[in-house]
Amino acid sequence: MRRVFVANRGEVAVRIVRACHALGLQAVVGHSLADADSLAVRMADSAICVGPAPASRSYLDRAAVLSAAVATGCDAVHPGYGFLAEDPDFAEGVVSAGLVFVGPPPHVVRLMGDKTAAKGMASQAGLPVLESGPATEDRSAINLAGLRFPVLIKAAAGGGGRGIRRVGTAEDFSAAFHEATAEALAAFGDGRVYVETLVTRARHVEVQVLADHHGTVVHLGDRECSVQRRHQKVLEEAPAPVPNEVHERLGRWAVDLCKHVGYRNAGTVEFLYDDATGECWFIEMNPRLQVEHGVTELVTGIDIVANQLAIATGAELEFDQVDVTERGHAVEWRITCEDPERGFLPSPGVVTEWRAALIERSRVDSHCFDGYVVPPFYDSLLAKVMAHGSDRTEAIARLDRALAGLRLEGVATNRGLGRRILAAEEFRSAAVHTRWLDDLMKDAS
Amino acid sequence: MELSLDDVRDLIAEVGRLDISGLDLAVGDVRLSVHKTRPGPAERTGTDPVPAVLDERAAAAPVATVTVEAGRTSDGDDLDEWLARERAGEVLIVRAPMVGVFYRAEKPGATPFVSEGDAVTADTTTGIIEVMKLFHSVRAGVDGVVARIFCEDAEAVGFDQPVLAIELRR
Repeated sequence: MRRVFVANRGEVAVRIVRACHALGLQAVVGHSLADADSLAVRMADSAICVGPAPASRSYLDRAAVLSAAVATGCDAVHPGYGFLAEDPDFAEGVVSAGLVFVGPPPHVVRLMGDKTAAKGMASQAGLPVLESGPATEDRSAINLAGLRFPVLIKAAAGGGGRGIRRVGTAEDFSAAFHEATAEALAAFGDGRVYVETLVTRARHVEVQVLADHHGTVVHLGDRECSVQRRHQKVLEEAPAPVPNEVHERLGRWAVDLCKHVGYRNAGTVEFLYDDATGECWFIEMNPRLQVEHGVTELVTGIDIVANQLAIATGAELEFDQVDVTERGHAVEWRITCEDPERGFLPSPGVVTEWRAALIERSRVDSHCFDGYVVPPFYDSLLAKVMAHGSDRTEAIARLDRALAGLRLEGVATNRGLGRRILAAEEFRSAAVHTRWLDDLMKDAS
Repeated sequence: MELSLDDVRDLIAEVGRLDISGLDLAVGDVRLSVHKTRPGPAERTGTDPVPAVLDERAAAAPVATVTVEAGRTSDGDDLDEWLARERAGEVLIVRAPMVGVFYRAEKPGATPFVSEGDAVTADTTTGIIEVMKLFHSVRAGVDGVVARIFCEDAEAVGFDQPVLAIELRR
């Protein structure tokens, strides 16, 4: 493998270019017209415009992205996260064109991308799963599955917090069904939804896995991502502040699932954890790099993206499970250009000043620079600010200093919310759950 | 120092002869990368297209890709001048309607669809772009004379990349 096509944008494109260069690989960035002057393009060995600004005609256009990868002489494609990263047809197209897809085999992408099929596989592999059934407009599925309200309607074709609706009572079902279906259709091109038991007070704990093509499957520990605003993660940490026994259980289950489905490359197995009862349930697996992968890198010292590329070349993982150690604690805040004064409306504009604070053991993954014009066509993520500490308290304190010291002018951001959360008593005592932030913000307004 | 087509052919042949895995070379605006590699499916590259059916000999043949910096023509012309002439209403710059590989002729070695100096009408096919084995015609779009061609045959072109400039009929 010599030349990798980066089929993504923003901070993850920068991340992938960095990893390529660290391994002595060339990186070619495929970008839309709106991203022609982006940081990833500036860092890449070369770049090619794959389409106009709208994602549907550029980053989501399989034929355009694939032909660009082939035309620029690339031998591998890294899809990043989002866009075509979980599109099995795209993965298949890459493989058919004779290129290496940096990720699992296409049939595994397809399997894990179908959230109901993935639950079936998890159940077969011995993982506990929540009761669920297909959703239809007339609520009949709920009776069939033996569920009772409240329930959760979820998209079958994708994750990332899209196409999810909580339904408190039967009266609310129809509206929620239509909203979830429409959202799923828009996000994944597939409006199928299913109904699942709602765990009222759950924590989101996920396990990072890596598997090579030689039979080695390891997990790199877990992360907690319970701080979510409308099902979108905003703050993540590694390891999850849960009892050792839970770490062991989840890690083992994640590896079992990977072995059962023949998983390869990097992925994340997501669970819900009820800390009152100690129960855990598999919810989904993301067959790709995760946005919050950096906190795992900080505690394990393992470069996940570099390993993705190495695995894709056919190399054996250079370590076993016994070699994976976690040191200290890491926390991340996702800085977005959402305006807190306008209900967190995405508010793109020009970043007139950008400078990360120089805080010991902090890391900032971003595509921003002085004068960067934030395009209005994509998501609002500007940067991931991370900090590592010898314990959770130190990591939290360092992240707060990193957020305070970040110079970011020109656009409104959610930085203040991050600092409020880091200072909140429930967060500091790890007593949060997935509804916590939404409840907090509802009370505040 | 400039790189001619003969130089490229000679370099490809040299890499094939020598016991090296490959060569990466940058000369002016042109970057040339020639490597011995396992053959993939049909690739159109540089000036030496690799046929779809590969025999033993071809299996060891080096593969070359030639890329030219976007925004400049292969003989160093400044695109900015042409953009200025377009703003002045003198020329129309035909841009790639999609990303892909731009071909100046129907097949390798055939007469190009158009050359500099040719008169064209709006419907004249000036080239074809291949997107994953599907071919799309690039039409002139206006009546005029081909003033400059910015792309080589079999060159990777990005969406909206300038492909040729047509001097408008007055």
